[in-house]
Amino acid sequence: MEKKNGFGFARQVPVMYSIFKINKESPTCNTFFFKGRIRSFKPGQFIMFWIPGHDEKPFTISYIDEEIFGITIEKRGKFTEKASNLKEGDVVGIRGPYGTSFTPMDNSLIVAGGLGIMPLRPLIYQLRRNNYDFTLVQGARNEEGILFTKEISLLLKQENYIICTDDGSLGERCFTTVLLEKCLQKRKPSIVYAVGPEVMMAKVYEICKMNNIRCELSLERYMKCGFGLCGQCACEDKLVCLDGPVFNNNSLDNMKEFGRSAYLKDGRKVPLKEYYDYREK
Amino acid sequence: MSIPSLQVNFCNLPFSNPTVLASGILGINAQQLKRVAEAGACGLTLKSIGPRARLGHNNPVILPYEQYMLNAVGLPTPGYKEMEEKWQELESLKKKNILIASIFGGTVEEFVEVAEYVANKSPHIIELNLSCPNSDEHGTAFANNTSIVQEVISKVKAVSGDIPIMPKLSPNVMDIAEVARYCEMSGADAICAINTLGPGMAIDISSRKPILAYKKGGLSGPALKPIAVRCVYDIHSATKLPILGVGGITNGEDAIEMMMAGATVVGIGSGVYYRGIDVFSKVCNEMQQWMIKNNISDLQEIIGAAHRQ
Repeated sequence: MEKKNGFGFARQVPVMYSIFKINKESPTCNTFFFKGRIRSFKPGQFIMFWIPGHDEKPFTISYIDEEIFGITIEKRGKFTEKASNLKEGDVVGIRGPYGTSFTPMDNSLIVAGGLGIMPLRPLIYQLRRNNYDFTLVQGARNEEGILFTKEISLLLKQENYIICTDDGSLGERCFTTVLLEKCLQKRKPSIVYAVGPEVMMAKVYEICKMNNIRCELSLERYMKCGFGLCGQCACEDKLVCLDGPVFNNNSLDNMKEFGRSAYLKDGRKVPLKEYYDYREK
Repeated sequence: MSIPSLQVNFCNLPFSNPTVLASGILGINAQQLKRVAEAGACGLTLKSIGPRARLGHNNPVILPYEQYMLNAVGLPTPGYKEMEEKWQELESLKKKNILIASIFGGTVEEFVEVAEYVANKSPHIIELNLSCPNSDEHGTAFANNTSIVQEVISKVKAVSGDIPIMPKLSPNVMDIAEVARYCEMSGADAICAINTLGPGMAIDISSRKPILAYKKGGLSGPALKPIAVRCVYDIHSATKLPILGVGGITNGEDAIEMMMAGATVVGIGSGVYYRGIDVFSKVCNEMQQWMIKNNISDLQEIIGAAHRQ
């Protein structure tokens, strides 16, 4: 029997890591740092984060180098509340990495909405390492939601880093998609990468379609197994865990549920708004 | 020799090939099932439908190892009343594929309630999940109690019209042939065997915690195959009912073996993980290669072959 499958190894059980450092990124966001390497991780992929005896959820890696990696978690619902109580020295389980990744390209435009900056941060580092040109549009509800801004401003030229907030507390007072359209008037990028609330990404997708620009977006759905068996994280006939989370515009063209609906834990299909309300609990 | 046909008849239904997507794997929406059909499966089993909304268990729900996996997904279901749209979308699949609706209930009355509704949607077959080991109230105890099995089947038969009824049996019983005989006596049209074994458990030794959130989970995957083959063999010996054999099938030779034990069609679940969604077409191709090599033109020749003198 073939032992090789898309996961490299048939065995997929949590690998245990001890938290060696916690960084407070904002009043509600913590980055948990672990010593070790996540084998063959590519920006855009996700891992399953297990709190023993409690639950396991998908998260992105927000920082990675040769020796350590970090996972940033915002306190929002039951699981992330539990995660926010984790202390240095606590042991958690990680499986993965799973899913698809971004295609690194020169002359790109990155759109980050809120927590969407997290999977994009390793991409930013990757593009920098490749000496690729790119512009970052980062938005959030308010100043508090603009994460990693000090660090990113050291990496990018001022004209390549544009910030906006819904309330105008930092940067321009507008949505990221308004800035995206402005940027496109000046220069046409080879690709747009976007991660954020799905309403934002749906708009990014529309704008890219109108301007005939390739785009890659990272979708989020309620996940159970994480590797394509249970079917829970469906978006149309695609599995966000296996075929995604990063989808390009060609795939999205055939995903009618994108921007519209998702499935709750019991399998009921609901409009996106109802899904987001559910996820906050 | 030309490419041999994989056609078989099961419950008087023509299967273009004997592969069936086992219940609980994929299938949250019709589009996903369509993809499984395009990947080669002829039979498509829906995720078990229950009487009311159930969230299922917390994560982790599936733990794959090299030769087996443990799962405790916990029968998530929106409840049969919340699935109108899905049934409409499934209509188009019924032309080329065999649609199997798996149902469960906590009581005999709940089984009947769901069966009555589901029968109105005219799936090709109704599978009665009598044997999920991952739920307190829908547990194996159900499958162990032959009088309840009899009651469920006969009462479901009374409301399901012409649709074949296929109980899914648990390997966790003293004598699966005995349970199958009761199913036959009660009017069952086919048997699905087997559900997962166990439940089993895996403990993470550094945190000292069971890894599955539900702690215990049913065992499936390649390691289950010998148990499944034996169960199918026993059922075939004891009854005349056609059998959907499921448990550990990942390749064409596994499927042939299961058919020799007495299965007419074969279910694949964990195999989707081990070989990808196109495991169905891979298994079909491998079966055909085997048939060519062994000069077999009709699968009928091998069904139950291990029983012949």
